[in-house]
Amino acid sequence: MQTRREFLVSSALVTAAVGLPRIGFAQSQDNITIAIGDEPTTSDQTVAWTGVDYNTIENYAEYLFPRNTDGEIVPGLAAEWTYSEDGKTLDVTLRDDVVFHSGDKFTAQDVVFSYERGIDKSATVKNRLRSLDNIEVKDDYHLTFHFSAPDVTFLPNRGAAMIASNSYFDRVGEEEFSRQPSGTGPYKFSSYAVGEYVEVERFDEYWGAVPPIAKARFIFVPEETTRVASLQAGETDLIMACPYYAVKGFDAVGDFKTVKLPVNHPTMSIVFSTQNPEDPWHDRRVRLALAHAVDTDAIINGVLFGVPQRLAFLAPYEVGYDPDLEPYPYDPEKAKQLLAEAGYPDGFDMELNYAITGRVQMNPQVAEAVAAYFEAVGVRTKLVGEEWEAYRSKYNAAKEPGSSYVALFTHGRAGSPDPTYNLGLFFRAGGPISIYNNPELDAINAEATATMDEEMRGELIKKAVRLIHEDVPSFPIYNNFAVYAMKSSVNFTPTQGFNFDLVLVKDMSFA
Amino acid sequence: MLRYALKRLGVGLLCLVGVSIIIFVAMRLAGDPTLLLLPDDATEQDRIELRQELGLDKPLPVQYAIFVTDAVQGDFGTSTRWKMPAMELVLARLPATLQLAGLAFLIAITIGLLSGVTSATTRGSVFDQGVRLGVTLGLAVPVFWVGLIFIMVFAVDLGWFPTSGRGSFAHLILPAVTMALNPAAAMSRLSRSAMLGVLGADYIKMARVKGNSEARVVWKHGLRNAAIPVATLAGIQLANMIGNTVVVETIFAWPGIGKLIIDAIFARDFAVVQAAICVVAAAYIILNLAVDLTYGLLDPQIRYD
Repeated sequence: MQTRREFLVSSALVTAAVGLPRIGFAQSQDNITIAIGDEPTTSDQTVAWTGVDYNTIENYAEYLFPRNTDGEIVPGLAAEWTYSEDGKTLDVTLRDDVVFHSGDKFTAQDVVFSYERGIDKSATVKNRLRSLDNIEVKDDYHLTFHFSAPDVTFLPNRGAAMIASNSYFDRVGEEEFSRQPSGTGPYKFSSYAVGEYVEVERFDEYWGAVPPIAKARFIFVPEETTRVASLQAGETDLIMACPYYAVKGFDAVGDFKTVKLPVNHPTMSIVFSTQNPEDPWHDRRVRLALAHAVDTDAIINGVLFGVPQRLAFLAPYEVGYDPDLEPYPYDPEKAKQLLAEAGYPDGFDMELNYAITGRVQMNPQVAEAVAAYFEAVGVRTKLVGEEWEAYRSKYNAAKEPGSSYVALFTHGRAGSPDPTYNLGLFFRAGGPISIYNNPELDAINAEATATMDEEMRGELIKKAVRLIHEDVPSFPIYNNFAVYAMKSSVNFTPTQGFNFDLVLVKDMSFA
Repeated sequence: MLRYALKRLGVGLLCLVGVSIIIFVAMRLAGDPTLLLLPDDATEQDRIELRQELGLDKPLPVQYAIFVTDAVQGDFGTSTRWKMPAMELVLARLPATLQLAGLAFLIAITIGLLSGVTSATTRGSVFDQGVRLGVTLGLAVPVFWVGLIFIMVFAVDLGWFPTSGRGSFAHLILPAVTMALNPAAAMSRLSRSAMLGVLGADYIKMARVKGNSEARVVWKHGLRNAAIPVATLAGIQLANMIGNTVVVETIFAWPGIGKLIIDAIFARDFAVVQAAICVVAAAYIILNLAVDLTYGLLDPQIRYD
């Protein structure tokens, strides 16, 4: 039997639990708590290389050429810039009133240091600066970038390297430099609890407009359902990567809302290796048939809760967007007819690869739906789901000529810094993530990559996109949308990060 | 007893070597880490360079020899994902896991023993039926589902506990209870059946005949004799909890070793997986030894020489 003392203790415990503040850190209107999916792999902006790093880092470190919330490249650390006629040199004038959080003054030497360190330490920076020859310092606030070939992606990538202080590094050394990073951003790095959170504080000597929110805490909540619950319970003010299933619920309740960043990388697509003559899908008509076989609108509405969208190729805001290009319409009769023409009136057997883990939500469900549509036109589809790394190894192996491969893949179409960037990655023969080979396309894209004039480049990109659309080496199922869910008292305008969805505290405020 | 303990420790060390070989080879069979350590747009040349830098181009036995030489000096290598010493990362996460596993274990053993023993002594009663149903449920429901339901009910609807994260004692309750359910059910079932086996024995009748109170008969004479299988299971459960926290830690965003291991596996971060598995394996070995040594305390007939 329970004694009176035990009873008192247990009721005290329950009372204590009930009395817990439902909103801990997020109570003050000056502070905000944000749930992100994963922990950054580094705090050092020069070493950063993967999506999860930039969520926190872009709040305290900056690129030379920032983008505003409309996606336009605007003056920032670089106050002015001019390209030479041939596109091989870029003269840059820096702002002379910028200080780092460590108190060091920002000069051209910091640019050289950051680019050298970035190329040395970050594979992402290195890859984006392949065409950079050297940086010539004229004086503290003037420098010139020299390129081996014109590179239209340099500015769209915001200059590719984030800026850190050389004198700070010399003073404190490697370890402290990454333990207590110093940038020029509107927020400064204040604390980090391994596995739990990163905190940033407003930097009052910021060169630009000082933002309204004083402090932000980024907590790491990998499970999407828990992220949703943390917002519902009032523990967080804003969550990143809100799962599609929760969007309608948040929009319906007055206390919450969602903000979507449309057409983010990647484009979930069905991708074919086209190089094995033995494969039925070596025949363009078969690939086109499968593109017509899938009712992508039904998948978007039925499986993905109507949140994302499908585009023919590029988004309307991109250079070379072609308003006349239509996505492949759903037409199973035409699909069957094309299969019959290609010599497969009774269909064939095919494996469809997909990833069961990774950054994209609901992959297995989408793969199953696609497979069902393939079956409906007679293509007997075997689903092969694997963990991300194993799946990517298989994709890489499909680069070999003669390989036989079809997958639901995180492909690159819309939403890259410049369309030539994704064309080079995903469609160029020998491109790092390409299993496609089309010399005609490569020639057009090479020309586009070296064409600084936007209008001329746009025409070339249009041509390239039409070629791909005709040949169907892949076809889109849907374009990823980044969804942020927040309390209705929070105002937030997201910035297109290109290949990453960013969460910049400077663009947040409380109503 | 000291000799026995030393001998067992020796065997444990051999086990640890075995575990390290298995994990070493298995991780390298699992795939090429350069696919995950480099961005999508890296070239084949970048990958070759990185493999050289990580020493992955050397033959496996050579790689293992390097690993062991460094490990005995306390250097388990550097994490490729976090760019920090692997053991430092693991040890930084260990307290969170021990805290969680410790409380979950206390809850499991308390609920398990109380319900199991009581249900054995009241066999066939409504209470017994209820416990048996509870045990079946406790063993059958998946941990991730219970965790999410707990979050929905106790954190979102009632607001009693935080949904996730680590901080106050309140943060610990939901994950610990979630983690305790399954082991509590197992302990309950085992202590019930062990007690049922013991309660019919002659020495129990003798104890009753001598005029001992029923509580003394059950909890002293009975439980003491039923304790060995229960202690064995408890040891395994505690060790399991340390090694098996991944689901609970992921759902509740608990910064422990389980989450670290799974992240490291998905990132093919060999050094961290190796260091973490060695720590978990060492915990298993030590706990098993501790359980074996408690047998002597529970049953004086057991000798270790």
